[in-house]
Amino acid sequence: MRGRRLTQFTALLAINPYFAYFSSRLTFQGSLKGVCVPGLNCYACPLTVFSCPIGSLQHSFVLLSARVKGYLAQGFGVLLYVLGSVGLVGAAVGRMPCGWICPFGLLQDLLYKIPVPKLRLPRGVNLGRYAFLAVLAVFIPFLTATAWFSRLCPMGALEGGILLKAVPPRDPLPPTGWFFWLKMAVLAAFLLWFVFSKRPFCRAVCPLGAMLGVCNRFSLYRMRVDTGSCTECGACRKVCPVDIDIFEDPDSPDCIRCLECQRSCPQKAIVAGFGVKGSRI
Amino acid sequence: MRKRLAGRRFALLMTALFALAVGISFIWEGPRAVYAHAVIICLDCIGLI
Repeated sequence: MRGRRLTQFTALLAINPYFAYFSSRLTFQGSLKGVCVPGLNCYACPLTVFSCPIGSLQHSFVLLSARVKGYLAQGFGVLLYVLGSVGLVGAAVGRMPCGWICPFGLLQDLLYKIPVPKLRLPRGVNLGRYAFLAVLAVFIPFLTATAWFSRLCPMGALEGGILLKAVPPRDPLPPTGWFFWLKMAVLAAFLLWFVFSKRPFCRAVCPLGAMLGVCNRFSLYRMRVDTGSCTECGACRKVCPVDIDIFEDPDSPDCIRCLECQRSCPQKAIVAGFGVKGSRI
Repeated sequence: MRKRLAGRRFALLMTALFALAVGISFIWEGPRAVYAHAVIICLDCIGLI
């Protein structure tokens, strides 16, 4: 197994190691639950020991909404903590967790390997994740005091909904209603999409990807393309999980810094690392 | 050549600002509030609203 795939599986296990749930039927209560993992991993998953940054972000706006209405709530603390945590990772390595750590990214990479005709997405879909961030993860939670991105998130359906229904916790859950099946339908639609297109969730939907991607422009870890060596042959795009031409914009917010392009470039024109001055030279 | 947003100094400045944000969040019990929310099974997340 190659290094990146091994890292992804290791991260999946490191984020979700709490197999004691199967015997105790109690979710993890340790202090690590206060740490936001830089990947989309639902904190409703009974195996996880970390918190989801997007769930926590929405929670901060729910609390801020309550504060505006006059209730005591510590929304600012949560907001600063989440933005600071995500920002620290982003400022260091940009969107690299998307390419190496995120379990949902791993799932998309694996499903895309199924040999069926593929569907290339237009570049405009990449703007969708900013809309999901602004509307579903910020504005609507503030307005309605409800975490609507979490309600629709397919990762929650997969890791939380299915697992907790299959292996119920000690405290009984509410009965399954129509919304649960709606969520399963959303999950099924996304899983199908993952088979046909490269990382569509990462490109078009993920609010965490939107936040980390912005950091690509100024992170300490940078990408660079030597224009003298690059022949724009397109070999990089063929292997790119998010279907971009890295030579056009090495610090693109769409780039998940998986380094597949660097590995595949026949001219060895792509350089990446800390201290690399980026972008095109 | 594409305009670069920032150099190394800007990156270090942003890193420091984000670290400061995390530090300040402790004043308003940010990590504790995240923990308190995360240890309860999120019914929104699993579709059992």
